[in-house]
Amino acid sequence: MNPVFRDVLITGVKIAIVIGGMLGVVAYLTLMERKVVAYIQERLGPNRVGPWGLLQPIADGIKLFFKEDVIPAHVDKVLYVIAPMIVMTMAVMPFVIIPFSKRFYLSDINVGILLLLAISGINTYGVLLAGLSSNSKYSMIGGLRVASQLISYEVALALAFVGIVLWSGSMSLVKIVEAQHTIWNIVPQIIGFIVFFIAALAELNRIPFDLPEAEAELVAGYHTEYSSMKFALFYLGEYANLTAMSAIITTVYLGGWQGPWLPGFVWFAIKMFIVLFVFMWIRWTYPRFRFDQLIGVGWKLLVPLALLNIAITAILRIYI
Amino acid sequence: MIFKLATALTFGVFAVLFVLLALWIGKFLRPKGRPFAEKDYPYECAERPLMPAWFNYNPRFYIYAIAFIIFDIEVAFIFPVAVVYKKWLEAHLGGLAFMEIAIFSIILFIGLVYLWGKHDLEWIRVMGLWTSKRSEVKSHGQS
Repeated sequence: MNPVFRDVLITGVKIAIVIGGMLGVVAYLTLMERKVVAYIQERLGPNRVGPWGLLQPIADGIKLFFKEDVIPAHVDKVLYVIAPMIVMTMAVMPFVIIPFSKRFYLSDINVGILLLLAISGINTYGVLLAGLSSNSKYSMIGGLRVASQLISYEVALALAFVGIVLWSGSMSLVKIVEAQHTIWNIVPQIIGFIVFFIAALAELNRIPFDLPEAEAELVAGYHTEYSSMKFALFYLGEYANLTAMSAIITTVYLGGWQGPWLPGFVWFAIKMFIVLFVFMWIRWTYPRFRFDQLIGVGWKLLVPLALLNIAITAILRIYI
Repeated sequence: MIFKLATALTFGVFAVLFVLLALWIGKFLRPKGRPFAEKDYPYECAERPLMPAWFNYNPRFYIYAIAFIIFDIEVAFIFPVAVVYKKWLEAHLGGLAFMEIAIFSIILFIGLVYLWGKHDLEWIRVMGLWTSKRSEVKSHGQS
């Protein structure tokens, strides 16, 4: 067989596996979250559809396909339709550079970390456009809040990435994982990890940073006016972002696929689900920030800490 | 490298196609027609909305946006130095690389201190009436 054709075929199959696998994980993540919440609150959670509620995500998905799709008369139609598509597409994109195991990754781009930052930058457009195009006051306030929150915490996120790049000497995620062969990045980069984790919570709009969709004051925030499959895209996009962020934390700080005895892919999955569980655990433990506190934490605490982390890493690198 | 970037692009196209498919399939399944004219109104807890929502919003948002652009560009400039840092240390050019990182970080930090000092990082900015009231309270407290 023609080698170029074979390469293209293999890449196509890999892309199908990654997108399919990711959608499966995201669908069952909704069930996992509901189950985790339920047990934290001493309830049982969904348990009617299938054994242990295992068919619940499928039932939810089918239901959303059958819902009436209302595009209100007062919206900016083009932006209104494009916004959920941007959110979902950009939530899936990080998986193109994440190494799932030693051999299995789609693309080893040598500016991987910059690509991640670019993707999260475009993601901001999705939610901001959703808020602006809806022409509803709740959506507008939610959209502007989410924009200022995302850009505030993106600075901290990018500065935490600088620490990683200084330590590993590369922006390619594959090389960053290989550089963690002896010791995971979480040990020398502990300050960076804390900054990154808090900033990641804010980027994902999760409690304690869920101001954009604070249901008690803003109904549903930027997706108040969305229905049917477009709403589902926002919902899925949120969980896809969560999965992507867990995968990034696993890759960058927790040694990716590295680990003894078990195959790399299993280690990657175990670490990713531990991070996911911690995200859910935090969501049902802490109350919400006030908006001025939220901006204050981002700029006055995380950015200086991240700069300190860069200085410490640069000095450490000279001696180690 | 081109093949790798092409892979990323292909992945993006697949992702867009998946999203379009998800939106398109529903077209054949969901009910059509809209029985109520009220469905066209924006959701405001059953009140008739008075004005369009495209109003002038708090200018603090735009200050954060400007701060973000400046900081993000500076971060983008740090990345190249950070990538070569390890190699330069091995080539005994460590001092130079360290100075570069230090100068960048210090400039960034000065920017942050300036913003902080101008009270631009506070959501409710201390100014005008607020300043006088607050300083009065402070002076009373001190005396």
